[in-house]
Amino acid sequence: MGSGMMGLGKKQVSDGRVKRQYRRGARAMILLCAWIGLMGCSNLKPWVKPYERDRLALPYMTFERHDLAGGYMHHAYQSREAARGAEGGSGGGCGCN
Amino acid sequence: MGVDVGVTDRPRVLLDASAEGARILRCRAVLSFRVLFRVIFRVMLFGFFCVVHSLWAAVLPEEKVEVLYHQYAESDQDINGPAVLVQKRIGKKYSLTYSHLVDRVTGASVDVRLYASPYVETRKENTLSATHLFPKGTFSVGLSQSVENDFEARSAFWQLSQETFGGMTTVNLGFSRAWDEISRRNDDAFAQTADRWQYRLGVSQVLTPSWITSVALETITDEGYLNNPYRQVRYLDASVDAGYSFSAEVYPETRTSYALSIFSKYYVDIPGAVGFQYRYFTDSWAISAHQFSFQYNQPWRDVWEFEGRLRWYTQNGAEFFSDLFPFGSVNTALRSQNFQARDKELADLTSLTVGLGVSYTLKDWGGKWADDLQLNVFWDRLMVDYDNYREVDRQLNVAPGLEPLYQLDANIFRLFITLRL
Repeated sequence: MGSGMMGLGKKQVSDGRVKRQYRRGARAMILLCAWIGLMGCSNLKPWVKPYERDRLALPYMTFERHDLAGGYMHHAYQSREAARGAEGGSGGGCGCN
Repeated sequence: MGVDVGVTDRPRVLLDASAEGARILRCRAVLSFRVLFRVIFRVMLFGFFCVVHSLWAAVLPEEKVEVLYHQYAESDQDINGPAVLVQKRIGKKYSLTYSHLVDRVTGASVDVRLYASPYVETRKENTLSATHLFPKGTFSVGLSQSVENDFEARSAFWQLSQETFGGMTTVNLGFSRAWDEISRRNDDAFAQTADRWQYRLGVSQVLTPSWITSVALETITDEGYLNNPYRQVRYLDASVDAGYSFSAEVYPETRTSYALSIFSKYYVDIPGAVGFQYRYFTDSWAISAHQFSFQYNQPWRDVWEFEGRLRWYTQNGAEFFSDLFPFGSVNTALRSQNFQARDKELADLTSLTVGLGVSYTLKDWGGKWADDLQLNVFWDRLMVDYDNYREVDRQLNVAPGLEPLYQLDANIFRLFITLRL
């Protein structure tokens, strides 16, 4: 490993690419933070009133309805595939957890 | 058909100075990104408490007891066992959740069968969490432990869920920290550890009275011993009749992954619900994956509910995966890669899952002690096609690298009852 580093200059082509990716990721996160922050103070009004959410509150409108069975399937997929994370939906239903 | 995927597939991680240098740079970039992600995550958490104060009231998890029997059946491996979940509210602002799951594993997967005998083992997992309800959201903390005879995983986690924008938007933040201890049967001297950090961010948005969508981002970083201590790589060996031998896998000691998901659920006026999910995954081992899922729910006569699922998944494997290496990991002078793996989960693969589920609800079943009782039967058929992982059979006289590509079929059953309190 040490010998590999010996022949390596500080300015590398791939270094620039990595930095660009790094900046792009940071920019996306800042935009996301700004969007969430701005939502609280914008003039945009909620267009779906609470009394209009009866359909969204139906049990089968939730993303992950059966905790144990859903968790078991995620575990089964994780043991057969390399992907992991962001499996279940966050929230769902009437938008009230 | 498979001749082209032989010895020379994926000689990508070479031990020359530039490749090694690029790898070091990638590792530095991953570490820098991890630090940046932590900082942004903490700023967001602080902002969360300070900025987001709007309308609508969140709810605690529903009170219920769930008892489940599960079975995962492959041709040579069977995993089954019971599980139980209890969710109980304490007062109006707190809720406790406890779950216990048992996996009984018998048999051995296709690769382990080549150099080890089938085995029987039991895994037990316990999770305890508490949720606090505050005016606009919930905060949960929990602990989890999973124990096998050669593996112990412990984790601690928290999740914050906050509603805003008149209850149309729900923002979730979550963090988990895990500690793994890995041992090896019949080898008392072997003891390794691995640490894991998970960061989750999710936004759920009501779009119309019939349509809700959600975006989730999760990054996971591992550090430590990430191998399976029993799994081995296959390499060409002219000194034995078969033409190949096995040696230990060598994995990197770090891994960072990112997963982004978009979910959408739409109410249809039959009535029923249509669900769709897309997930993209990438990691520092050069694995990338796409997943599309489709789901349909159909209630009938107020007590029946039918569910159909279709899931398609494809991945490009790790850059240090090969079915057959030119040299084994023991020969460090000759081997062409610094990391070597033959774990089929790291191969190029495509999987398709077809699933069905039926639920039947007995209304007001529990008298004054409980509410509804729901009986559920779920079945999924998982079919995996590997593009560069071969089914090696010592009985067949096939030249190394020309064996048929492996295919896996499994049936996954979940039978469970849910008693709502």
